[in-house]
Amino acid sequence: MITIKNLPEPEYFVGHKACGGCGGSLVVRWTLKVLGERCIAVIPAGCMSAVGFIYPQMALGVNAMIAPFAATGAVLSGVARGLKARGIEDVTVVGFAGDGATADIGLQALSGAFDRRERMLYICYDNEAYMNTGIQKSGATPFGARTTTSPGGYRPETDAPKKDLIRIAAAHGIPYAATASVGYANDFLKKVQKAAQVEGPSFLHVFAPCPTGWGCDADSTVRLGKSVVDTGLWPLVEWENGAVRLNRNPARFAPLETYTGEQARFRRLTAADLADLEATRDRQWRALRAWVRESAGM
Amino acid sequence: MTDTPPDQPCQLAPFARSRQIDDWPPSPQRNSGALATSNRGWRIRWPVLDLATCSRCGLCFLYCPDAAILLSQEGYPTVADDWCKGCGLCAAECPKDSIRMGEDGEDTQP
Ligand SMILES: Cc1ncc(C[n+]2csc(CCOP(=O)(O)OP(=O)(O)O)c2C)c(N)n1
Ligand code: SF4
Ligand code: SF4
Ligand code: SF4
Repeated sequence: MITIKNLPEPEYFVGHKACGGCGGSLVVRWTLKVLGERCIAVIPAGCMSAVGFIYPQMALGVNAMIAPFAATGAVLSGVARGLKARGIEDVTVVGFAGDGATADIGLQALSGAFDRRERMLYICYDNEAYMNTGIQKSGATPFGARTTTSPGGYRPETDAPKKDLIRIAAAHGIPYAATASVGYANDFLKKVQKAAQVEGPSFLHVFAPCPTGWGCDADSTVRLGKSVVDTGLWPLVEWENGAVRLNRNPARFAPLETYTGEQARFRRLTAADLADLEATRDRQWRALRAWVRESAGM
Repeated sequence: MTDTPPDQPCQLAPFARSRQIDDWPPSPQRNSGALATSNRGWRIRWPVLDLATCSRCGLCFLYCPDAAILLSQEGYPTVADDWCKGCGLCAAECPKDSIRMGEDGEDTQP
């Protein structure tokens, strides 16, 4: 088992042009270290392809291609089917797509890929907006966050501002789906290894801070990756062959301000907003715990 | 850029030449010579290491998004001039406070 103590030395994502402290680039670097050289990466239009494919140079050390924005799932299952046709069995097919490419425009292709049951690992690095084109609101933007298309802070009419990707993936009955965060590296590394072993499609939804889009310090990426989990805003959930598990199930959460306070995108949140956010979080945790009980047949 | 015949190993384009090839982390790109251009110049600060207090935990190596921390045989960190963007993550996460963000160009191991 690869952990933070024995992370392999070779680098497969180096020289890239992501902003300093970019969480998405950490997700790609760690994942490729785990998967190693026998791997094909598919990355749709978005920050990670823009900063990785820097013609005539290349920051990726594995075979990799850019997918059309909406097509990550389709390209992944196509590559997997092609490898199968050539009798190649030891190559992992992995996708790295942003939240826009996953929760919004690529959702249909992802659903189709889940349905085709090819062996592939789909990783959504979630920076909670369309960053590469200038921080527009996506289906994964949280309540209250300022983006260039929600300059006063996003205030949805419903209780569920973020699309629930883990439930959407699980609803397809795929063998493995999980959430993770760059703040909990061992949990993330373990999940990548599990997901890569699965026969069939697997899905990881990873919290990946974006200092440029969020207005936080470049050195806060890992800290935010921890506080978002500790405040209960990013539950660590694992869906494995029909059973759901909470990797962390705290009795009490850290105060929301320990997370929101570090980011300019939440600067407009009032005390009443924070109370709303807390109530939504608590409701979502009740639903999550009910899901766990239900999946265990309780 | 000059054309490379297909049967020749890839040559470094002059603009892509790294000042410190020895600082490259072990990677397929290093072996091929197809290097990305340096990110030197992106930063105004960079890590200054206090190896006397360093516990060799390797967290700075883990958390650097740019693979700019290399670990020596003994497990001590060094900073890759070409890749460090000065984000400060290594300094923020070092459990021993062995990393201070100093001026770019300062000796990283005084
Ligand atoms: C069909 C199509 N529509 C729009 C674009 C323009 N576009 C390129 S990247 C991008 C945003 C990507 O956002 P996301 O998927 O969240 O990834 P991030 O940039 O945040 O990493 C957009 C809108 C495109 N390339 N193709
Ligand atoms: S804009 Fe955000 S997601 Fe994109 S490279 Fe910069 S930090 Fe990373
Ligand atoms: S300052 Fe940032 S880029 Fe430089 S070595 Fe530290 S973590 Fe890496
Ligand atoms: S994080 Fe700090 S203590 Fe750990 S290896 Fe790096 S410098 Fe040394």
